[in-house]
Amino acid sequence: MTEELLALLPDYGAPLLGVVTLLSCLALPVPASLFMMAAGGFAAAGDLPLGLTILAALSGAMIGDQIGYALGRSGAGWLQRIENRGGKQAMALSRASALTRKRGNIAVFLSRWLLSPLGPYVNFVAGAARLRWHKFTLASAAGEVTWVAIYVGIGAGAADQFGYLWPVISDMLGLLAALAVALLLALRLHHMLQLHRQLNHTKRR
Amino acid sequence: MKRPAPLRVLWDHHKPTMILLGLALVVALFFSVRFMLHWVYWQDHRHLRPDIEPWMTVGYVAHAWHAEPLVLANVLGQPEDIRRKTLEEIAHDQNRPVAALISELSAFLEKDAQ
Repeated sequence: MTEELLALLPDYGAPLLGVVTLLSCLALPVPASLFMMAAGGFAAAGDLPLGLTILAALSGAMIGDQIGYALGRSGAGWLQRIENRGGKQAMALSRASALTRKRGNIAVFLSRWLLSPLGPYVNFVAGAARLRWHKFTLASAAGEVTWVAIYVGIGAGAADQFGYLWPVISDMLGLLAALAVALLLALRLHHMLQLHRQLNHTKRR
Repeated sequence: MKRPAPLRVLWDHHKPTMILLGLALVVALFFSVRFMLHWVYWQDHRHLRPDIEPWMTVGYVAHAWHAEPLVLANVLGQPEDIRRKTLEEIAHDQNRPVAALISELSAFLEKDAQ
């Protein structure tokens, strides 16, 4: 499937790349990073115009981010109703969405390139937690520029290592994303443990 | 009274989060093993060129293998207009399997490199 798509790249070039990066921002399983590497190689070989290739990848990714954010945003009312219901879960949820409003732009920026497997979900969450639109858009733009520059750059500079590099890069991305999720869960458990200890302490007194 | 072990407390009260953490760590372990295998494979083979793929164009192969596009086009029997044409398309135009075209190209590049 990937091979067939790659074979279409020299013919359909920039528009195809734009569609692929857009779909990847919506959690659809398309190999956007691999595509950008191949496009970088074609651009360096003179088969695709470099400027247009970069522009298409960027616009596709940024439009995809906006769609993901809007989808999340459409669920924001529903999330707020759960938060207003009260109780332990609702309190945890409203703390999480308040944190997202405050620091979500860092998560958006990092999940564009360093933690890219998490990117689409961060879009939905940012929208649902009502992260301010301009904050989201700024972080998305900065992150996507980094993402596109890295992969088009690798593709253009290391075209001869393409077949070896991609497995190494995709494993590293999977590892980093899994570690990031594990770290978040560990922090949450650490917080819960402290709450338990405080509770026991007050009970004993 | 002895304070219960932290893991015990968390397991009793936050089972779903603990299970998710376990899963995330298993996934991390899976990717780190795969990463190491792929890395070693890459280091063992980096002096060799990776295989030429059917989706590559003559220009792409020329760029990656540091050869002249026109020379490669010559090797392939001078197909008309090599720009943006994949090896697959060229092979199709010439009525031959793409594997034959790729092995011809590889053989030339190997000889050229020596």
